[in-house]
Amino acid sequence: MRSEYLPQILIALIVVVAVIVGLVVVGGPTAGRMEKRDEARITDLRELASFVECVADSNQNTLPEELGQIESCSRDVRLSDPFTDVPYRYEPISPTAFRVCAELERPGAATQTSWHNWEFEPSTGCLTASYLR
Amino acid sequence: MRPADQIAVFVHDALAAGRSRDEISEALAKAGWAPNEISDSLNAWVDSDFSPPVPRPRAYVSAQEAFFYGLMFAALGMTAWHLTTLSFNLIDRWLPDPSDIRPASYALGQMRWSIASLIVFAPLFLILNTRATRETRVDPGKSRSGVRKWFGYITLFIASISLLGDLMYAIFALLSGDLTLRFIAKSIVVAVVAGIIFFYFSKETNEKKDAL
Repeated sequence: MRSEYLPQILIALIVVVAVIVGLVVVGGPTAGRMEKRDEARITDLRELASFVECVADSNQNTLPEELGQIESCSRDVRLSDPFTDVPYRYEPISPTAFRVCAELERPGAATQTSWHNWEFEPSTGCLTASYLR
Repeated sequence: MRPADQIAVFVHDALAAGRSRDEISEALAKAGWAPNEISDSLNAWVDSDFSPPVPRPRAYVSAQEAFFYGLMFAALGMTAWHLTTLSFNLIDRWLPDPSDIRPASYALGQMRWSIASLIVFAPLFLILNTRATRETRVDPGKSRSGVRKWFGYITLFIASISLLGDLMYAIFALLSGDLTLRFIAKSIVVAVVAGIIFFYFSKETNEKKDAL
């Protein structure tokens, strides 16, 4: 082996190791698709939370017992997972709080986030919202 | 006077003085000029008995070389950049920092970009560089290419700045108490990547002191 090729071999080796480790960490195309589906689910949960707030607003500020399309909040909202058709879970926690949950495929890739009065927890797949009017 | 001008003036004068082409190339070879430089400078003049010697039209800078080395150093730059980014993301993952509020999905997307660019540009750089090394061994005159020298020195410059900046930032982090394991690991990555490039190209550009 010629010594002039040594840096090239070194670069090639480091790149191959980095790419393999990187692929192991991020996962292949299947993992990518899972993340895309989870993103869609999280977006649905946000839509759903604002839908629940709209329903409660139109019902003397009381949270609904269960979910269903109603006339006054006729926005386009998905009540169940578009990929598995399992309905999203809706649970009123107290008169001023509720949560909507989805079954995530790759919770590790999702991020714990909070918007004004909402908080999303990836490990449970639940978006918890406080409803204060 | 640049070496290319020197040899051109010499060949012109020698031909005008009536020296034969064999004599001229022998004299040039003794002085250490590479075979391709000798034939290039002789071919700059038409082989006829007309005096003074008749010049041939020729390209000023080799566009082919500019393309080849431009591509090679762009590939090197992309490889070094994305290798560093990918390593940084892996380090962030293995050594979590509670004060890091970057979304996990963002890091994953960044890693996918880095992997994609490494898969494209790392083999490209290695193939082009192997070709350049082989061609230089066959024809040492190639290492006098101005385009190649310039790209080589620019690479060396960027690598040196990265190494110095890395060192500077390490000292700053030490003084402000931020010298965490995570930071040390990242500094080592920058030092290794820039170090390999630095030593490789400093060797390459030092090979021929007589050029440019």
